Amino acid sequence: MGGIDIIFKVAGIGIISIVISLIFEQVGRKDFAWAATVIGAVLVFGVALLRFKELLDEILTVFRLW
Amino acid sequence: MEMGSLLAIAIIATVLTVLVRSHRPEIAIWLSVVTGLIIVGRILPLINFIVRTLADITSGTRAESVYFTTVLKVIGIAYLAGFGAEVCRDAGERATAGKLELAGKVIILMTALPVLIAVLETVARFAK
Repeated sequence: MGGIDIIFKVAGIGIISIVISLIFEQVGRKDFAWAATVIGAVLVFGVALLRFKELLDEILTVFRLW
Repeated sequence: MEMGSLLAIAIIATVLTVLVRSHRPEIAIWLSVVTGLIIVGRILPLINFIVRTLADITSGTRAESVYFTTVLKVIGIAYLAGFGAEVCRDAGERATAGKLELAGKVIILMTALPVLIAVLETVARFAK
């Protein structure tokens, strides 16, 4: 089922948010840089949490832990 | 049989995690959690097959199947507790990892209690 796409998605969001926040820091807008960081973290949180729940459900089902 | 792809996933994810960790530790944690779950997710069908064959073998009396499911539950709880503890330790939160492991042990004890009581009862019956 592949699964590596989620890794690239999370890493991509992370890298983009780092780059954006660095750019904003260079320009001198500290608040925008912080906003980019927080938005990146929230996005990663959501994406990873969804896949985390799916995989956790599978594990719980296999081990009859329901 | 799919060791190659698992190795590839692990290496790629580790490199990306290290890349992101220096700037964004929180995203690196999520990356390592997701990688771990994906690797386990890939081998879940195999575990499922092993579990089903073992269940068929021990499908004798009802008692045996109960013991087998308890053993399976204990293995599952131990694995999950270990997984969570390792992730917490990676992130530097050794205290949380210890608490999680303690919780895992208590839950395992709770699950295994009925089996223990059943065994003691049979032993007591023989002793009489």
